[in-house]
Amino acid sequence: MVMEQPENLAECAVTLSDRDNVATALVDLSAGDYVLDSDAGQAMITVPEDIKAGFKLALSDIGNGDPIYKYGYVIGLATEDIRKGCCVHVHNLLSAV
Amino acid sequence: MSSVKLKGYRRSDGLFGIRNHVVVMSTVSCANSVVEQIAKIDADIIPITHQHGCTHLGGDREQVLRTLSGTCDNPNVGGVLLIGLGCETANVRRIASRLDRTGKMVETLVIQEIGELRKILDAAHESLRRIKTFVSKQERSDFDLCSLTVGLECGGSDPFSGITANPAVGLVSDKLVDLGATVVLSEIPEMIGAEECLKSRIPDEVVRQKLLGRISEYVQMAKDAGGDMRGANPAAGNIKAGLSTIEEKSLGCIIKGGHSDINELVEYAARPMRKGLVVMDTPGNDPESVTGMVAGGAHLVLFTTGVGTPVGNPVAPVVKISSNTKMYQRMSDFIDIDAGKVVGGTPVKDVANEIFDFLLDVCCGRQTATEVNNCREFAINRIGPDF
Repeated sequence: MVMEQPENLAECAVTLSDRDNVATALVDLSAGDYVLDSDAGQAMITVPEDIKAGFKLALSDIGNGDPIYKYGYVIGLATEDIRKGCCVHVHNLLSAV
Repeated sequence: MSSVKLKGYRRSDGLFGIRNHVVVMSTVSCANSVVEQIAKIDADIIPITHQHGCTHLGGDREQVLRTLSGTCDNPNVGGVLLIGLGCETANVRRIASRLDRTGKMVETLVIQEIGELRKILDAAHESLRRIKTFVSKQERSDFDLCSLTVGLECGGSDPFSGITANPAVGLVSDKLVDLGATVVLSEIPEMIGAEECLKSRIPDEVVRQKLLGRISEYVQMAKDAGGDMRGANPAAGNIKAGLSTIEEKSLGCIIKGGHSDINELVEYAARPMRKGLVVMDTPGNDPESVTGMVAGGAHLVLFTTGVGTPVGNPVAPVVKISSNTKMYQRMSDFIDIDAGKVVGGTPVKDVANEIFDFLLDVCCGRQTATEVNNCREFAINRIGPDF
């Protein structure tokens, strides 16, 4: 059996600021394990669900009520606990305006 | 950073044009057909017509005059022929007097004074011969990029606009500001929800309060008109494509302004007084917003688009940048640069370098898709009704 090498998340999703706790998928991502580059070196991130291109996934565990950062600024607040790797969208994120 | 030298047409107000256009403009919509007929017999000129120039009240009277004269005042224009009717508010003399200091050759023809169409066309032919001779004698000389003004626009955005094309243009904006140029960020309604980001970047308290106040006014105007921008934005289509909140949408839009401080908020079609990144009070309507920035002196406009649009301007090259490769391939002759290649792994900064190099080429005469295709939209933003 040939094990596939996990893909590096940096090649299929983009973060726009060091402060961001979400990345935006550039292509359709299949559920599975990905390599995540961080300051501390490389780690693994498990993406538990398919994520379509243009949608966001959490880069760390995010608590209910915590701010979601994209572009280095708050784009809204989490409406539930969000596990690292999960999709972040209108079902668990609400505008803070 | 070291300076970048460009070649341009020196105007007597000290600015340099990257084009040397001869404009024939109607000062009121009643003169539009005459301008169109002049354009039919003289393909070298840039005709500009519009729906305004008379029966305006208050702020509109000044805004229309400022937009018409500002467009002629743009450094890319070398000579102007104004065609008026005779009884309108925005009459030829009012506009011509605002162009005195520019040293451009400005001639005027008034339909009611000359009379018959044949005589008007003959007079236009004579005027244009003089103006073209004058313009043809203007030479190009070196100028520093720091006297360049670049407008920013996005139209027909998609979820990739905020992660491919706009961040790439944002890096170009930062570089232009570092080099001393003026960069104009526009479209106030597309700043709703991004107030926190904007606030932290406006050192001048007066400018900060003015901009935040103007953003709130747009929210109120939408409510007064029976809509709610915060409720309707992002639209259902945006949400289906991955955009979540209005903050996300607006931040993805203003990122094309980069990360520099915002130094000024200028009125629609007014010329910025300060260098660096400034904001112009324009609506989200693309032709109106681009027209305002060019009337405010923008030499060229960087325009990102997700769904694709031909919008150009009569006197300023508009550089069209696609956010996704699929649209670029489908509308290739309307687009100059594809930022969609970021999805395929090209770093955003490489696309930014490509845009910057293209911008320098355009300054030196390379034609943009809008110029090749004669896309010359001209639309004036209005404040109130006509009477």
